[in-house]
Amino acid sequence: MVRTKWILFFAAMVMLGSFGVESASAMVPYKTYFYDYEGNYFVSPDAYVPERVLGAGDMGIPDAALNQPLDLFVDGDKQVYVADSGNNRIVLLDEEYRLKKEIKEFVLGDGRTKSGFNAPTGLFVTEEGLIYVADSKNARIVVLRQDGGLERILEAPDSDVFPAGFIYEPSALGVDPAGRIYVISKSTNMGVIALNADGGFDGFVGAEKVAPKVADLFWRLITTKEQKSRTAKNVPTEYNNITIDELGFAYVTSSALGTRAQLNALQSRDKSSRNAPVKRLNNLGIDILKRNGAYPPAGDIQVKNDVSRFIDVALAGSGVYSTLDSTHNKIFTYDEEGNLLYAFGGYGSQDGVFQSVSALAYQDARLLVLDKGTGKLTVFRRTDYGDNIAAAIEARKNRKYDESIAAWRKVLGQNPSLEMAYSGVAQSNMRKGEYEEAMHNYKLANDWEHYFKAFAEYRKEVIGKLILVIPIAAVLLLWLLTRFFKYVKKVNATGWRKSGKRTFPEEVFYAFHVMFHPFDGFWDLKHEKRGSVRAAVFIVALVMAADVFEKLAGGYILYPTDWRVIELHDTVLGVLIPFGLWCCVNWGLTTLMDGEGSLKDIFIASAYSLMPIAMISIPVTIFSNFASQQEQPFITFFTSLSFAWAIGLIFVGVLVTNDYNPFKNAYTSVISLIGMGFVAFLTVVFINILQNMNAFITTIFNEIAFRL
Amino acid sequence: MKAKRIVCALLVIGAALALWNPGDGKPARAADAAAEGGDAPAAAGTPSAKLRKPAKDGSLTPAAENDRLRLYFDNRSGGVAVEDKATGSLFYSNPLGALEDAKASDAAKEELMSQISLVYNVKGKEGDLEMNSYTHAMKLDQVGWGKQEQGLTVEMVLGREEQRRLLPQQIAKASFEENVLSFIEAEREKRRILAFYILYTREDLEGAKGKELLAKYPALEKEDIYVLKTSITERDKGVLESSVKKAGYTYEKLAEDYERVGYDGDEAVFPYFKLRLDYTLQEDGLSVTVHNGQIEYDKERFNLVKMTVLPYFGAGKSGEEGYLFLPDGSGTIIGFNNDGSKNTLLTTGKLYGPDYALSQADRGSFKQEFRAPVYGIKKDGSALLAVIEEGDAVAEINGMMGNINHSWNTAYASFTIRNKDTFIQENAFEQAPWIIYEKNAYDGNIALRYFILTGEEADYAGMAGAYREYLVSEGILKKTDPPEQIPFYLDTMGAVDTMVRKFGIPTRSQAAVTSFDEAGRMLERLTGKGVSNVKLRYTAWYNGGYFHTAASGMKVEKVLGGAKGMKELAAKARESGAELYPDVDFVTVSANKAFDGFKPHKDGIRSLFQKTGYKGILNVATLEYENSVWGVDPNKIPDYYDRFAKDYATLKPEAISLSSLGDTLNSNFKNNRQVNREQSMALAEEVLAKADEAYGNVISDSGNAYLFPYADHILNLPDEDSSLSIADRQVPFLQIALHGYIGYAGEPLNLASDLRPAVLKALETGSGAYFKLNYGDSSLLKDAFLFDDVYASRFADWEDAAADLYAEMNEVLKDVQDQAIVDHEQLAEQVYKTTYESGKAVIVNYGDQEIQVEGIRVGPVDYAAVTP
Repeated sequence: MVRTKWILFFAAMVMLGSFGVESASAMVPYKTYFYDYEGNYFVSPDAYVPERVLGAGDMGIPDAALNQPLDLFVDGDKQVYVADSGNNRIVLLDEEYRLKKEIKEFVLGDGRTKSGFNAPTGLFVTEEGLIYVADSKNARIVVLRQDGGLERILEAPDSDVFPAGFIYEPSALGVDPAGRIYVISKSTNMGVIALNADGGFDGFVGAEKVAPKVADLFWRLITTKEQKSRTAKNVPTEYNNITIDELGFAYVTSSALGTRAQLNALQSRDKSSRNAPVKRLNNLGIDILKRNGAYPPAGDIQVKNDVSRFIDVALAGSGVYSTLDSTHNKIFTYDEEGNLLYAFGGYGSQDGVFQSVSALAYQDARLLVLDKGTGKLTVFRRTDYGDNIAAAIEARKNRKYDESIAAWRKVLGQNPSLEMAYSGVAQSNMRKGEYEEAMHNYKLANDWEHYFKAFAEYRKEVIGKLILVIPIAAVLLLWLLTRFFKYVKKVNATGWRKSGKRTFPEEVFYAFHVMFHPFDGFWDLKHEKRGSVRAAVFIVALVMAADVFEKLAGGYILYPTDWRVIELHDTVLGVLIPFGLWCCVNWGLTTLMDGEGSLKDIFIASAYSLMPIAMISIPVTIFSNFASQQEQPFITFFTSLSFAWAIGLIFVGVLVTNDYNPFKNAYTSVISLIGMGFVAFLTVVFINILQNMNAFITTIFNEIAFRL
Repeated sequence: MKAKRIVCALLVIGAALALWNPGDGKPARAADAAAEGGDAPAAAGTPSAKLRKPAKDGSLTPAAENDRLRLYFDNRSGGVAVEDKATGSLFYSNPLGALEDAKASDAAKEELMSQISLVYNVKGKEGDLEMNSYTHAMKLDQVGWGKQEQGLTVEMVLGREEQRRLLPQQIAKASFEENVLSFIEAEREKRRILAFYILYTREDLEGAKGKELLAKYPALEKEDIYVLKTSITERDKGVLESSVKKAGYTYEKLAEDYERVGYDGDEAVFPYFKLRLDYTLQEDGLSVTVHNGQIEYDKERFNLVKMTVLPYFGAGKSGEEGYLFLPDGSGTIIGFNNDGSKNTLLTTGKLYGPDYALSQADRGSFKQEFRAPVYGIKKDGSALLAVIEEGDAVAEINGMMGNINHSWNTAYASFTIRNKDTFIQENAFEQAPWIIYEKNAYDGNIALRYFILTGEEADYAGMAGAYREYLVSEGILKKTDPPEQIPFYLDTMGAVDTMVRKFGIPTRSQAAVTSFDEAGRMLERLTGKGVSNVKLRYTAWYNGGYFHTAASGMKVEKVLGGAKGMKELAAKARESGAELYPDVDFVTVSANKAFDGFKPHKDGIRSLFQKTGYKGILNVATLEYENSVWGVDPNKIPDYYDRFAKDYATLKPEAISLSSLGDTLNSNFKNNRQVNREQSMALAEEVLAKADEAYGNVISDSGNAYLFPYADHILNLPDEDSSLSIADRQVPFLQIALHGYIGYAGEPLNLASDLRPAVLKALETGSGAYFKLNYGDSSLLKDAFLFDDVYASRFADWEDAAADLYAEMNEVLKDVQDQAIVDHEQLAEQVYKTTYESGKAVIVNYGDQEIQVEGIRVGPVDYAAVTP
């Protein structure tokens, strides 16, 4: 039997001519990729590869090629339905994409009159096999049986809710298990129209509430009526397509969001429903889509203006869904949590890329994509890599963790960059108590929340081992510290009596005295010359060093990455420039306001005031390497403390140095701060002008060089 | 309404007649040409005495013949025809019946009738202009030809030879009367001259179009002017010019008059290109040479930009059975556009990949590059294969679909004589793109060799066979004497940059993905599992690892085990019958340190705009090029090689891998150091030759055809085409041509998206087993932020599978290693058969159903070896 079938098949092949369909291992004209936590793309193995590209001829459709086919549906029996909108027909294909039936017209209820479609743009087939067609230009929904016979026609719903001038033009639809019909009508921004099973109007679902921004309100107050009418109105979203999942929830897509708004929502990792191009609406119209990935599901991240515009959603099972991006002709696939699994596709005239995509649907492990530009259907086949990911997710969904982890390990073998897979493996490490391994994997997964959980466990383990050493080390450390401070106190005490030139350590150690006895300390600093410029420079350098040290050696709790490139200008900008500005501006001001301090005095006083930052920051940095997330408040507290202390000292220092009263001092300090801002602003403006000049000169130079 | 239509139709017919004009136009034009440029061909400096004009009857004149073929001059088009004497079939350089093609416009018809089309540019002006040999030489009777030994030569002048006509385009009324009209006595002649001019007076300015006129002729504000009618024919211009000359008008006066009316006179410059084509009959075909360096034209005024040679030689008419063959990747076949469903007119591929000194256009999708300078056309029972012998580095190969602009499907080559680039300066006063042309134009010959294939040979496998025989006869390919077992190509990577925290302080340092020691262990383990003849290619081992500095010297990475480790690895490899191929990249530099002998602004490639050129790294998500890797000035490459080789010799190496040399070919447009692509290719060949001489064993990548004489193995040789929508099939052309002569493999098997089909592909194409494996932890690669193309490469995951696959492939292919592939065919959908010289054949079935072919059962996604 099998054999005769094959001989027949071979004969058919010979008749078709020497050229068959493309070979199974043709080039894949795109690279599959995904984004990591930072928004960097990584190339991954292909999850889907093009298997076949079918034109109307290949499907056995005799006349006319598909013309602007707009929708695609795969039913439970793997039959494929295509809404061939330009030819006003519905094409029904079997599992292997051969023509089964072509529905161009149907007999109306009276049994005589024939009627046809006018731009059928949406399709849905229920479990019972009823074909719902959004007959858009006829403003009606046609329900057909499998044999092409008419079941019923749902005319435009009649309701007072519709505003004046509302035109009903159903472009996409879906039917939930309860028989409720969701219809998307073109250019409606009131949400999805819900019809009851009989076609009666049930209400609007999923309309976005528009919350006006404060800035908008402000502008509205001061603009004239004409200006208002000219500016773009703040309108809620229009949906363009709908897909119903097995629970009856509706995935809706929108391509009419503001470019900037959508991009901002994506880049700020907005987990809310606002400005989301894809949503999952429950029966009440509330968005329940999870956006727990690094970025919300909104397509390409590394874009400038050409944001992804989603026009269709296909469901792959286990909560995995794919969205179709009409801007780049790409397909983005997300898991239930909203993690991007893989993205592929693109524009071009090769097999596997598209001219202008219009719809996609899953047929088990195959993915079908319709191209309205070429009128062709591309069939994608899932690869081993895609199989492994699907298996891992399915097992996870069914709570078969061991299976899931085994599958994730396979995935990692094929793609060592996939963060999700590291997360999956790390989970198993945690369950087995391999905390160090888990930390490593969570780190690779950029999953810091879980990393610190693993870290806490690991720390417990280590502390358990070092239970005897720790108290000894602590006592030793305390003893050393006490010795040190005692020594410093002694030096400072003897320095009081000493006159003339002091040694460098004496000058630096005096900062400790200033820290704890500011009024007394600053007075002596100025009048007894107990400090010096060199010591002040040393302290500023120490603060800078502490800043660099924090950035380099701070624990993951401070900077969750290993790539810590230290750029000198960071530190200079962060420490040196504010400090220098403060000194200069404050001196300039206080000189005008009968301050007694010279620039040198103010510099020394301010520098000595920074000592607490250096003293606290270094131990905190070291501590941050041992801290877990619960201890974060300690770090914040100590950091704030050091800054508050330093600022207090500066305040006192300037007060004492200039011999001001506190009120006057506060007053000059505030003006100094404003002055600093002003100077900074001027500098930026100046640099900007310089840059413009530079660009101008290069342009002239280039023009001369190339035009002449 | 109807009347209008009729008038229109009449006008169209009238226009067509005026253009076609077979009877009365020609003699006059011929006389003209004789008068003006009769001695034109003589200037070309070749045996002009023997040259004769094409006969007017449009017949074929026999010119030469050998045992198999006869060469004719085609008096119809000025081209040639080749007759296969055995079958009587004729191959025309220009399709028969082109002038009667209903689908073609008049311009397309003349295009079909030409052997050469040129693109040129007027210096100082933007925009390219075109010329073809039929419109601008044949029709003007500026073609001469003569017989030569075993062939014929054709000389032609495209365009008008005389550069400027002494005929004012615009002239002030007063000066026209004073300088010209006053010297002409006959009133009739005066009126005749004036009939070709339009007089614009200042009163016209008050009319409706006044402003427009003033903008066009600013001089009109001051005085009345005469403007030459644009509708005037060349012939009338000639007559008019002689009248004006007779009146004693001179070029000096013309210049004065132009200045007076503010006319810049550029349009009066006539381009002309005098060139020669040699057709020589060969035993099995025809060779065609264009003496590109000797083309005569006004180099002060014009740039010759591009030249297309014999675009329609052997073209197939839509409706005929046949296909085009293009070297897209491994090779692709595009059937003639018989049902009109193929809507891409032109498919173009630049030979040898992109040139990073030119700005890279953004792309939409990924494609294969064209690696071999060949293309072909098959129709009916015969086929034509063309090989570009000279000028290949500046060539691009095109496939044109019929049924779109005209009826013919054709494949042909065009040659970029002078590159150009456009650039938009930000913040420029004028936001128009600037166009700059290359100064160092290609001045070598353009030589094509056509092979005529008939009978069994007339298909893509026959074309590949003909190419192989050609390469062998030229001494480019030599048969290998391979070891008993097939090669196992193992690609492994040395050091990458990572951040390691030392005492809590992160430091950037090198980490070994695979150290020399570990590579040795991989060899041991593989050998232990029965793998032999391992070719171990080792990348990222010197000067900083993966992101390396220039190869102007060599420092083996310490983290891998240093020079000592490398020597030990080489020794270990030798023991186990393997070979170590350390990979060196002379083409790009991805890290720059002071005093490493490379300064990007000095030693890097520069664009035409003198900006540093980068090897664009394609951002896969945005499909835009990002600049991060410098290209090395091709002039510098031999020098770097010499310096590197000196250090390298201390390792006592026996082999080398020069992957990037076979993959990338850059020009350099830096002023005073210019290298065009053909020169760059010569430099690459120089280095390859030296390496081949010094080490004997050379591996390279991708398979640009200039590698063939030097490379012993080519990895990443394309084994697929670009899957173009209009293409019908991919064919392993390169593999058929190279098997038995050069060892090769396609993509690493472990990186294939599906393993089994990839193995089948390797078996179908006769490739070696190729894996890209690293010993270390793969997560290092993620840590090192290597975004592209390195995944699925952990040795531990693959060692067993790799050994098994090797054993499996070795069983099939070991006894055909030194044999050429004589045939390759598709037996059924997704079933292919490859036949070797000895008669052994391999049938592969990519389909998921078992199939019975030629009495052999082949399982789903399986293969069968047939031994005779």
